[in-house]
Amino acid sequence: MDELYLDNIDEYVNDHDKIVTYKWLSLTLGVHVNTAKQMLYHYLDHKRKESSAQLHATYLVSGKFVDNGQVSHKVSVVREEQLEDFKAKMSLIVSVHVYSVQKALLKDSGPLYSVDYDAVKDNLKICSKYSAIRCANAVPMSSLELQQTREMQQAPTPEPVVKKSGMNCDANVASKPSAKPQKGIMGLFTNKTTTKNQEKAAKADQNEDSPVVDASKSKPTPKANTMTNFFGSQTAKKPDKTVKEESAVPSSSTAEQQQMSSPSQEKHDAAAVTTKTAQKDNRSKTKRIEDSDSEEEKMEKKKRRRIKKPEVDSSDEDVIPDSPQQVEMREASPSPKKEVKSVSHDPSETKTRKRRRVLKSRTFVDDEGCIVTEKGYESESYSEGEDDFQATKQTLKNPPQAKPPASNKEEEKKSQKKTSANANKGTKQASIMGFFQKK
Amino acid sequence: MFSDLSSQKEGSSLLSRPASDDPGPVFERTQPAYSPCSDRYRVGERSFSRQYAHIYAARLMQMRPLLSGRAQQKWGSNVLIRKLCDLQTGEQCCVVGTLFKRMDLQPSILKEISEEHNLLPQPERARYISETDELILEDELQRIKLEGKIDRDKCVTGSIVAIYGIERNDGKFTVEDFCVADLPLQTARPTLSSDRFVLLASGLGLGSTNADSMLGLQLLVDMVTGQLGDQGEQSGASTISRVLLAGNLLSQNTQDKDASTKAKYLTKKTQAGSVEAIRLLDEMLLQLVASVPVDVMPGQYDPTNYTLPQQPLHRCMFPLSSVYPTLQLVSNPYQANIDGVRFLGTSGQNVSDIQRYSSMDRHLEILEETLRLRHLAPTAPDTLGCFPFYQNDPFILEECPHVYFSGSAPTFESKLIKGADGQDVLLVTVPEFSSTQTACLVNLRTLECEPISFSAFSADEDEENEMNISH
Amino acid sequence: MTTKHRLITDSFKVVKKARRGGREKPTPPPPQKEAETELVKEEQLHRLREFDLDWRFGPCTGITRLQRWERAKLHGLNPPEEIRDLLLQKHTDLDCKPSLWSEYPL
Repeated sequence: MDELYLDNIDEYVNDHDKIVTYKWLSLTLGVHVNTAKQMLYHYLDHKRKESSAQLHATYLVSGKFVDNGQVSHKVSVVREEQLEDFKAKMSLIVSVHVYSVQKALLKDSGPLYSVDYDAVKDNLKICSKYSAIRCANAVPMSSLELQQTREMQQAPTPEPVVKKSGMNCDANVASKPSAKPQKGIMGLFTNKTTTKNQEKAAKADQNEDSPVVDASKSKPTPKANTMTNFFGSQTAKKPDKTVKEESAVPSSSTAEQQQMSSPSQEKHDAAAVTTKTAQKDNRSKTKRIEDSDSEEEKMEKKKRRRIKKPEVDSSDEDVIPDSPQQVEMREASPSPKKEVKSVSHDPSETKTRKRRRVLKSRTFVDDEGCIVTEKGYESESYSEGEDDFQATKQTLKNPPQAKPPASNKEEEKKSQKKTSANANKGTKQASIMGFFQKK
Repeated sequence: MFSDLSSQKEGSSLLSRPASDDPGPVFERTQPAYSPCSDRYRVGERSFSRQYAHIYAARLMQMRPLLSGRAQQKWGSNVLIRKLCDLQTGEQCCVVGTLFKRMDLQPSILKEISEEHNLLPQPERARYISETDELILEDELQRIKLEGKIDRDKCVTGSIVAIYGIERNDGKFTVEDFCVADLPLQTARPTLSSDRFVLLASGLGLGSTNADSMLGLQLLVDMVTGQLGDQGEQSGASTISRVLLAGNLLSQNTQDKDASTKAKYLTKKTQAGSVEAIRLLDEMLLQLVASVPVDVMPGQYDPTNYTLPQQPLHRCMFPLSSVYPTLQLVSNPYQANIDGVRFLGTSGQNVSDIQRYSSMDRHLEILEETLRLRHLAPTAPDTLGCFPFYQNDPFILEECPHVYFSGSAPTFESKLIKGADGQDVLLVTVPEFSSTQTACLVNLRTLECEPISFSAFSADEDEENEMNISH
Repeated sequence: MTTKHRLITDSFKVVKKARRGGREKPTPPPPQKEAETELVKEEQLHRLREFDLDWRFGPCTGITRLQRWERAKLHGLNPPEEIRDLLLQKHTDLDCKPSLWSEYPL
């Protein structure tokens, strides 16, 4: 091995004024941790012989330590001048090696942590690549495997969540109407929503006068149910927090809603095709996700404020994807951004059928002879080739199947509770809300 | 001893120049047989519409036969076992029932409300026992005050005991002796051919305001993942076959008490303190799970439900580490077989709650007491939050664990106890890592436990040393 | 003003209708039941209530009779089999599921 690394270390320490820990060095040069420790020792030794500039080092000492009769294994990072003291205190020394080399004398060990933290953070995916222990089982799962394990985990407990409808005011209202009327305020709420929603689900007929919202055509997966409810009930109480939790599971692009929803479209075919590559993908993806996280969050928030949200009736709750699923989707589709662009900008080339949700109002005469106007969502299918505004009004028999774009789900959830009421007086209410939101 | 095991010197010293062709040692992580058995702590339907009376009823139904058996063992098979309603004054007999301790100092919402009526506020206390406490035994129908040879301060509400004595004319029961359910039966533990360890750590306290402890935590991670130390140490670390994090991964500081009372528009743009802490945790877990299987139990301050049994943290909070099959998010309490050794433990809420309501002080002592009572959390639901079970009480121990632990303890303590039926149980109180910088290693072969501590130099320590020199 | 009135009546009617719809469903069965012997039903209900009041099987609020029966069985308290038969046989009949006290607020 040539001793180029001595110059390297020298550059880091003296020119860049860095604290060089063995771990940072190992990750930076891509060498085994033990080699890195020896390199640091060699460098230190070398420099000391030259006795040029002042260098400070810290050492790691570990071993058996007896304190008040209690024997323990002790691992310590110590400064060079304390080293001998420390070794003397140990009743058995297991290992001693250079922990770090730096120009300045360290007052406390805080900086050592920061250096390592940054190094590890930059190399999260390979953080144990150069360590001395391999674990055969610790292989990241592909998205398919992940999905399988999750299904397995969730299989035993789908039922309980449905059951809780009685108690949580926003729970799955579509599930069996409770046997006897609920008592108290909660009861009132549940009952109302139940009836209203049922009505709505029964007559899926509404008409348009509000912004068109894109919807993806991905089918709702049944297991979304459990998760959504989990989130649903949370949001109802403290929407703010959930926003954050969810954006902590980052979305892959800063793109528009359309793009957000598109990965899910591709999910089905892509999942099959890319299982093999998924593993590779995982790495780069997750890292990227990690990086774009904070901006992502801001972006999303801004977006939310800007885009006027029409309400969605709460029967859709079942369909809102849970966040881990989002991750999955992303992993499954290698380049969501690109594909979506091609889809939305070159309608002539790809005539994909899509589904979207439209707010429509519909007037009809009900059983008792009253004229009723109802506004509500309806999902319709249209193809990319057609102009957005003259899309074929093909009403679907099963409205809850349409899935709202992922980025919208916050507002949707918030509004779910009031939706059934709001749907009728719709727009005015929304603009007042908008005024507050802008603040 | 882990240190002895690791100290075998082999290969080149690290205090030497790197050998030109040495790629560095790589050890294979020991993989134990592992089967989780915490299903009983999973809550399926979450209905909170029931009263807690059911738990006590189920607990008594479940434990009465056990206690009756113990009573017959202890006082002879023809001992008279009575229900409270059949009790005859002056007759010596045995009664099985639930203890209830009436405590003047026990915080009560009713008292707090009545404080609005110009009563003095109750001072905050570390413990609530007082001279005026009364011990009462309840069965399905009745209750009776207890006197005599039973340590009032040591007992806690909710324990099922069998008492032996006489009811006096004044309607009180004079206890002459009493017994508890004691250790359940244990399945034998297989003999292992080599030393393997399970590392227990608790109270990592991420997101706390003082970041000093972070290097210690990083050292722990580096030690376990085989970065630190000499080859010997690394080969020792490769025998750590599992890491168990027993709760309180996040610091108490991450919980913003004001958040729930503040107006929504004021908190709109503020981020919950736990978000950053969870991100840190995810990164730390990623380093661990890439090298060793990890079980993560939630604790008092972690973002999951508050009432026992706490359900596993949700994996969506760990986008980085949850792709590894080695990450297990588990419930609190937690039970699993690792290489045939049965682990059972909690993150420590049950123990610290008993500490507040009894005279027992050391966590280890309390831990042993709960094992003898054969109940993980007797004070639930009285003073400890608990899900309103009705069918059975999952906190009753049906099988004796080999390792019985509780987390978030002030100090590390461990003890090997032997049961009457040949049970071997290692009791471990896992210290809070953020304050003690100590974790513990359990040897699966010998059931020994030793602490492993981490330290780094700090500015204060320096001053101390200087002081010492000057004196 | 008039428009508002209309709105109110509209919504009132809608609500009323929904309620009626809800009530109509349960009503058909009772006449049939009444056709059966009312006496047998009374007798069965009486036995169920006695089961409710048997303190050995633990508290009965908040859980159904069947849940309570099963808990008793689980802990070896030998609850009467006939109660279970009764409960299973009439498990569609709602007023027999929850216990005697279910109407009382907790």
